Amino acid sequence: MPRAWVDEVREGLKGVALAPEKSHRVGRRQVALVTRYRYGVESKKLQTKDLIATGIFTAIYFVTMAVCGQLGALIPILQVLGPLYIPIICGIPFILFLTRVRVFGQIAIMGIVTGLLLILTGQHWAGLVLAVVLAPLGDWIAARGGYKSWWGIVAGYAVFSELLIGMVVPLFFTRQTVLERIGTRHDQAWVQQVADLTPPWMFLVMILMIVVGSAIGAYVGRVLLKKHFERAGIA
Amino acid sequence: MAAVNLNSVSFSYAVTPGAFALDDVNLSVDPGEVVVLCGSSGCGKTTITRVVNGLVPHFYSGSLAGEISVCGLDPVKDALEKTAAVVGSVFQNPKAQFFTTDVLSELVFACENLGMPEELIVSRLEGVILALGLEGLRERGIFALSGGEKQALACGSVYMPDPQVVVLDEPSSNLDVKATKDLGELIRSWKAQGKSVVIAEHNLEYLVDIADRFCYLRGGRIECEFTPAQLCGLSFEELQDLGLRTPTPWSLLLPEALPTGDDGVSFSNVTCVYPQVGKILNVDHIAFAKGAITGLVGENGSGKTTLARFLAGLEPKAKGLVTFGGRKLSARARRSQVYLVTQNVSHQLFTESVEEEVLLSMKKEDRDRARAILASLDLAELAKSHPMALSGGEKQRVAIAAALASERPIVVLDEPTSGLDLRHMHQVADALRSLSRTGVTVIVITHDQELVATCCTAIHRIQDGQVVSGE
Amino acid sequence: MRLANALAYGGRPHLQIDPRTKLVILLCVNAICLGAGFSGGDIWVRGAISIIPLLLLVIERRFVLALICGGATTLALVMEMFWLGQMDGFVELTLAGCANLAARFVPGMLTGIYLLSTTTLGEFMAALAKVRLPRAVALPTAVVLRFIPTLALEAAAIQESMRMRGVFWGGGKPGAFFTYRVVPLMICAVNMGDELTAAALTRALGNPGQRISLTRIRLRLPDWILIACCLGILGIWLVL
Repeated sequence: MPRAWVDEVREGLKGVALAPEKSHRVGRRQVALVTRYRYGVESKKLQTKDLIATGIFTAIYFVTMAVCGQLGALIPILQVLGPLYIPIICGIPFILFLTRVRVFGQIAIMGIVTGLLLILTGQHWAGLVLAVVLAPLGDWIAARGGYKSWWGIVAGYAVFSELLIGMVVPLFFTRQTVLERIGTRHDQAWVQQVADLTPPWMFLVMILMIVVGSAIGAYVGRVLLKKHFERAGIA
Repeated sequence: MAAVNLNSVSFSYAVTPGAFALDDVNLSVDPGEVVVLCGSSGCGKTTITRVVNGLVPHFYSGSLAGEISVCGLDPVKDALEKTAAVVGSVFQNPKAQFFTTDVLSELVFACENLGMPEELIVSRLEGVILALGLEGLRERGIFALSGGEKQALACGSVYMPDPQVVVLDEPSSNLDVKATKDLGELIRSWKAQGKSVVIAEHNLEYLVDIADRFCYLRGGRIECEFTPAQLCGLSFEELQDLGLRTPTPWSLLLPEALPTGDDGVSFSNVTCVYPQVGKILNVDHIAFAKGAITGLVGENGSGKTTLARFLAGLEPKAKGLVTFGGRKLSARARRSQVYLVTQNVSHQLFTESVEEEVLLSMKKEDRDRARAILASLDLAELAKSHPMALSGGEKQRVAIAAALASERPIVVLDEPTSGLDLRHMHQVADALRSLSRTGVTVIVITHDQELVATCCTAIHRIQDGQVVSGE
Repeated sequence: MRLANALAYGGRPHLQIDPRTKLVILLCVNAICLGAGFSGGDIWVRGAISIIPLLLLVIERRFVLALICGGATTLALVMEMFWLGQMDGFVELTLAGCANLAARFVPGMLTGIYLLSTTTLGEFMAALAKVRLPRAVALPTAVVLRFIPTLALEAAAIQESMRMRGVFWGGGKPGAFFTYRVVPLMICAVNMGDELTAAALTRALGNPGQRISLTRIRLRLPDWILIACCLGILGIWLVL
């Protein structure tokens, strides 16, 4: 038996209660279940099945996000509201994922992989940088509440969703470019007017929209969880 | 020395703590022995396979008692990866078994994970491809394979690391007759190589010549064991009592053809061409009688599903003429006149309770009628349950209830009984009969000989997109 | 088979490039197109880097895509160069802003499409492993890329069933348009995910210790040329 195997299994067993279980009744028969192994449920390390679960829910989250984003591309008005409605709809897979989150790190990895995927589909790398910072933070916030406290979840999700700002960063550069360009040809008053149209505090508005959207999204996710997913047996 | 040894094993899943999935099971399998676990749904056969390959308790948590030893390892105490080195597992659903996206990567996936030396992997690869007939599929992507090819690939990827024990969980559920025979031959070759094979199955026919014994389970206990001879010797009534599918379906009586009048569904000159695959369908004429249950049989990939989807108006690449009751039906008309129950029923269930699901099909919501329909299909107690929480057989009946409620004159079902045990198959057959009694034209695509014998009044055979004989 | 061509019958790409090169191209295109401004030579830099994905797509015979997107990008860049300065009304301004956005996003998307349609999952994971991405991130990424085509197929099947049952537009109930699509997809996806996990675990995924990989990737001459071009353009932009 190679050493690595044994050590890994021992590692995973830290914190597992191996005490004999009291016998309990089943119908009329009494059966003593001698040892209760709860591998993989108690260990605090990230295991393969956690990573696969993270991957699956990240796929669902990303596809949901992409489809919502495409809606915005078709109907340009929606793009402005994107930071509001995207966290709402993406709240559904996120809340569902929370029922499978076992240890710290899964939500962080979800954020980082989402950032990677955003780059793969041609978005700005700011998305990844934000994800690397915000996703672990959001994970930590949610973990403080044991992934069960409602406000911990909402706060964690809100912080996590802020990585969507990464998609908006190029707009900032667009604004710079446009301002620069007209600056060379027109007078300052005109430039000032245009600059006023798209004030820098738009950014803050978007951040706030994401927070509001996340709160609503978490709520929507919980409603669907109770109404459908728990009763369907997957939560 | 037995390769697999279960000693007084009891297990209850964490999600159902009061119910014993396994109750004091003793099982021992020698090298070169093929043991088939049979019984009705929920009897524990799948749980035993999970105990052997270590998924219980590492993935499906719960309370476990008893001693298990597999090739000298303890799947409970040892890590799942260690057990995976000696136990190969083949699952029921071909679509959800593959981790990679192309054939060669999938074949070497397990070996790569186990750290087998590269030369060994490459040397085994050719042999396995030959043994499973995967030669023509080398460069293909997994999504392009048929069900039978997928299952062959799964067996190949399990075979590559040369495990000593192989467990299979209902592997022939989605396979046609030919693919099932190939699977049987593969199991025979594994047996000859000295592997221990444990198979949980409903479909016993292809295993009668190969298995060493059949263990019948009920309620988590092994009630009795049969040799193949004893199993074939069981009378029809005894099989019905046990809830087992017949191991000798060739002895079933298949239906005669009914003369079809003008009031049924009739297809003419149906063709369907896919760009890279070629001509899938080339049907000159095929007719289905009204108020009758007609079976549509044929191998996987012969075009039955395409024909069904064409009938439902969902196949834009297919062209042809469809008449119903003498009147021509356009694609749009067909979409509102044909109810198609797909193979994966979960795609069709949208609402939060069975009753809502039935109401959804109605043009005008009528709760009384919905309740009557549910009662007629024996679903009354499940009226408030979530459709997705039901078992396979129950979901099929919910889909049929929704078809009844929609009052559409044509209902097509694609493989309604794959993976169902005897009792549920009979329930589906009864549901189909009540459908046809209301005058609906029922078309059933199936491999299940017992279903055909139980409720079909006529069958059509399709091969390579053409009607072979309307017998 | 290629990542994004799960549903088609993809063959080998005409030009074999190491996935790491593709990543480098992607990052460069990303950085320049989304970050570069307008002054002086910047617009030429943006133009130059946008040509690379177009060229690659043309080599892969995806002419239609290259033509449409290439045309769009050129139009946008030209509009910016000559028209933007002449702006007066707000409408033209917004148009110019849109053009700018198009010129920024399209090359990145093109490179993304090129990458996803010419790399197999195995090659991509080998590249990530060479770049020393930790297993905790690489494994979920592999799962995501493998699972997305499956999700697409499931979603298509659900949409078709909705059409068949006549509830494609929701059937009158509030929110039904979304819930009828989203809920079955989630449930099917999670169930499939569980089956996938069980299968992968029994194939010893997550085995500690050295993992062999049969997929070989190597940097060859075309790779070095492309990397040199990209880094060169990036360098020019940074310097100027």
